[in-house]
Amino acid sequence: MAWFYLILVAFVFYAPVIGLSAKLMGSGIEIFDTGIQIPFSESFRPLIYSWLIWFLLWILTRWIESRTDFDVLYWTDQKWRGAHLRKRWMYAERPPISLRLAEYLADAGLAISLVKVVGVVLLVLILFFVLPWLVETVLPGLAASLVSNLAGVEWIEAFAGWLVKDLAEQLAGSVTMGTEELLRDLWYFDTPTSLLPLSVLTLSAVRAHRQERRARYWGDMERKQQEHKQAVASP
Amino acid sequence: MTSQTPPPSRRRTKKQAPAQWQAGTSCDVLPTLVVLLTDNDKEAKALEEDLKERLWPIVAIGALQWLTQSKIDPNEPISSVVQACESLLALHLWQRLVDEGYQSRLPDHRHRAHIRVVVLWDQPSSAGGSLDLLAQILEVKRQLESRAEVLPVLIWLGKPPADLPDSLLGYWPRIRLETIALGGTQVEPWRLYEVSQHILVSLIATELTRAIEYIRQGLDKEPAWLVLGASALVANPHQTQRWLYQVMPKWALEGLVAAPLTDAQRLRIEKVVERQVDGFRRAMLKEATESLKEAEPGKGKWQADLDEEHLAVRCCVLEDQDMRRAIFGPCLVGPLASLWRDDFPLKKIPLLLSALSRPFRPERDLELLLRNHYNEIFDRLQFWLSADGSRGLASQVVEQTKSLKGFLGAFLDRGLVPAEGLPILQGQEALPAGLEAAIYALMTATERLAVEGDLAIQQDGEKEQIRVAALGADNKRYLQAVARGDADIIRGYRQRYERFARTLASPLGVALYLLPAWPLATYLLNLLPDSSLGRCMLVAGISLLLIGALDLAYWWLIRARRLLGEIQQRIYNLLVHRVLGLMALTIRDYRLWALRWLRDSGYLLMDLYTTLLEKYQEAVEAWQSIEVTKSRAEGGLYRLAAPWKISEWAKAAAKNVHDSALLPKPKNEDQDKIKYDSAVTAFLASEFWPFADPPTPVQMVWYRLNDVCVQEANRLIERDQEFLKASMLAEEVEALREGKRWDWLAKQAQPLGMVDQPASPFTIVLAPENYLGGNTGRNSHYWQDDWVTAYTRQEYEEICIRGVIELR
Repeated sequence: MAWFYLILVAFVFYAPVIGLSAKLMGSGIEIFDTGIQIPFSESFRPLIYSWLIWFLLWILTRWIESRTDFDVLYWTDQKWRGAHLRKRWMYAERPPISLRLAEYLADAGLAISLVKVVGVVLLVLILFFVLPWLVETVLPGLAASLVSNLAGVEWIEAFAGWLVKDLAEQLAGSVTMGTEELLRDLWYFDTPTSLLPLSVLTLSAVRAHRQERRARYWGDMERKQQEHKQAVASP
Repeated sequence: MTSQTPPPSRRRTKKQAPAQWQAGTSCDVLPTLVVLLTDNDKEAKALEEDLKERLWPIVAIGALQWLTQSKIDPNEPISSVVQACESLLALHLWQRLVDEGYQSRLPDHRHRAHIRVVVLWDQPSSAGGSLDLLAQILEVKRQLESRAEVLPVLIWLGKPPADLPDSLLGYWPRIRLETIALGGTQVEPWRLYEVSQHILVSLIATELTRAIEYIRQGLDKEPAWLVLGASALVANPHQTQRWLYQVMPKWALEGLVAAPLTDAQRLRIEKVVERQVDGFRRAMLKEATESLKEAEPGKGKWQADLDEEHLAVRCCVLEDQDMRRAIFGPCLVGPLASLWRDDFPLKKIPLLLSALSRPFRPERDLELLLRNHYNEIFDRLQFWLSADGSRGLASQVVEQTKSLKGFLGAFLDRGLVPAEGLPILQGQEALPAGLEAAIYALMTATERLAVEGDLAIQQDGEKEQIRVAALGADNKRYLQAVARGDADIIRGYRQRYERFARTLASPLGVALYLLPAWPLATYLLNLLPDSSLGRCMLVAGISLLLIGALDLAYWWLIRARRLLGEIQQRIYNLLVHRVLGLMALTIRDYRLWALRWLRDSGYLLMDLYTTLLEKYQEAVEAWQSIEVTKSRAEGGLYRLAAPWKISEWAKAAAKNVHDSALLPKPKNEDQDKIKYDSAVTAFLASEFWPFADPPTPVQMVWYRLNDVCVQEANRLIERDQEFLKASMLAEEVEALREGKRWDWLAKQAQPLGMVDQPASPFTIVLAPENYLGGNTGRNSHYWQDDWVTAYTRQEYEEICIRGVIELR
């Protein structure tokens, strides 16, 4: 049922154009007052809502099934004999591409989303904190320390001058500009906000589906054995 | 007995003038007892054997008895002699003598039986110089006087006593032979025995006794001894006949066993025999295949396409739809479907998908189904009723074996070619015929038919031999086990497909799996620059649809169909091999039956061939020794032989045997029309073709054949009797030709003994009267006027006896 609820939740929340997620989007989370928000941070709310709804539905259904010894899929197969939901869907392993395409796409979506999130956060940290700290504090301090401790050494003085002058200029100039450019490109790389939550939801559902399949399979086996025992007991 | 010379009477007093001597036209043969009193066993034995040989017909009747010194009881010599004489007085002996013309009548009250006792005395050591033994033997005459007349004759070898003792007076003729001949020349001691032999022959089978009596009548005084010499020309007709019988197989069997086949002939025989045997196998295979088709509906009818040239089945189709579905499942796919023309067309993909996805559960009663099917096929192959009422392949194998028999028989004799002829023997140079050719053809056929490989299956251009079902004594149990095993294998194959098909998702399942991928794919596509969400949705949806459809088509229509086809093919192979294995078993059983016949026939003919070859080789060896035999003189005995005449007779007789009507021919409806190569091969065919069960023993066949050889030889000998006579054979010898034989006989018959006052020298020639005419007979200038001739029963001998009489 994990997969069924995935389909349901995914379409309710993340169906393009009509999905509820757009309405649930919140304001993003700014990174250390830099004016730059963490990517996808506005979709945390729909992610949490949708995941919780999906999870609760699934857990609840599984709990009811386990409590009542009622197998929804078995019942469905009994009801609609042509469906073969267990044989031809739940336990099917082939065609492998079609059967795992959603998982592959979710993996790809999650990877892209994470790259953007992690990339943006890292670049902001480098640009706003690491580079100024290096130029203003670390390099002059290092040069002064070298000169004071190793006074009279000619090449030390030259090296300290290179640190304070050339390297600091490089870091404050071209490195900072390159990082800014990279951050701008990454920031302005347009990614649908639903990609990350949908991917997370899908991957969660895949794992839950596998677990549920294993459990249902053993349940089927037990039922078969029970039927066989009954058939043997009452000829 | 009328012409028998009356016994000499010593009491005769009045001298009678002898009448003119006239040789008789017949003479009676008296039963004779020869008492050999000598220490020279070797010569005595040789004398006995030679005498028996020359007087064979008389000896065969039993008119000549033999009593050697060792058989005479030294204490009761008389009783031994009397006992021997008793056998000569047996009525059945006299009846035989009369029947065979040796006596003119049976003894009666007016004519008592006469027997002769000839004592050959060579100074035996047992006598110790005493002549009492001779006197005691004379006592026999007195003892048997009341019953028969005993005529004692004495042949004294060596120097006689100075005065003739009274004990010897009872013997007449008293013949004396010494190593010093008349005139003082010396002869070897063995000559005495040789001359004794001629004298004994003359005494028993000629008028010698009468001639001697005639000479005696002309004497003034009583004779003391007859001093005789003798010589003979002997043609041994028995030996000639024996030789002829011995050497005849050389020519009679030459064509059968002494003409080995050449390599080229063997090759030609091999080719035609192989072709015939292949035809045999082909017909059996065809018949077995037909039996598979003859099933009733619902009994598992199989249709087989034969490649007759390669003795293989190209394809084999189970016609029964229900059985096919039970074994192979609801649909056939792949090459098997085209074989059955039962493939699902691609346009009916839903149907195909449905068939492919339908649960492929192994039938629970598959084993029973297979067992019944195998039993049905086995029974059909073994017992199905053919048109002529015979069962299984019996009629076909009988027909084919008959055809093979006719074909192989044609190698023994062309007369055995069936009336309808054999195409294989027509339109080409004649194939070799004869016993060896027949054996070689049989052996080749046996070898060829013994080769395994009654049945093969040809698939994809490759020929695979079918393994013969290993049916034992309990066929039902074997077939049950086989059905169980095959059902398990089929179940295994089907489970393999089921395991595969179980993992395949349906279109609905695939759609369910692809639905969550749609928004994901849309958002991912939306990452592309300048892409609108709506367009991305459309592209993603179509892409997912295509991916799902292609994926489904690949796994269902290609992978699943291929696996099912492969499994069905394996099941088909299993079934076909099993069915064809049963068929191969049936064909093999019948082939082995025919093979047993061929082997038995081959061994029998080989046995016959070996026997005939042995006889032929024996004849060749005999001929090699006979061929060099020539007429030769041994003292006064000239043994005459003509090997060239034997070979001439043998060749002519052998030719007659091959055309002989005496030999039976095979019984056949068209017996009169059939022309056999040779009466001998026709006879062999009558005994061995087709082979009787049990077959005639080879030795018996040889005896029958030899009997005919002997009969044909006898017929020739009867026609050419003249060539067995001494006078005719003497003409072949330079030293005896044109009357010179008389000169030789007279010279060799010099009387052996010194006589102070010899009286009445005489020469008696004992030869058949009809050979005494002409320039080589009495008119020859070697013939002396004073010679007298006497009648002889020895038609194949000429004996000359010369003698003088020593007076008392």
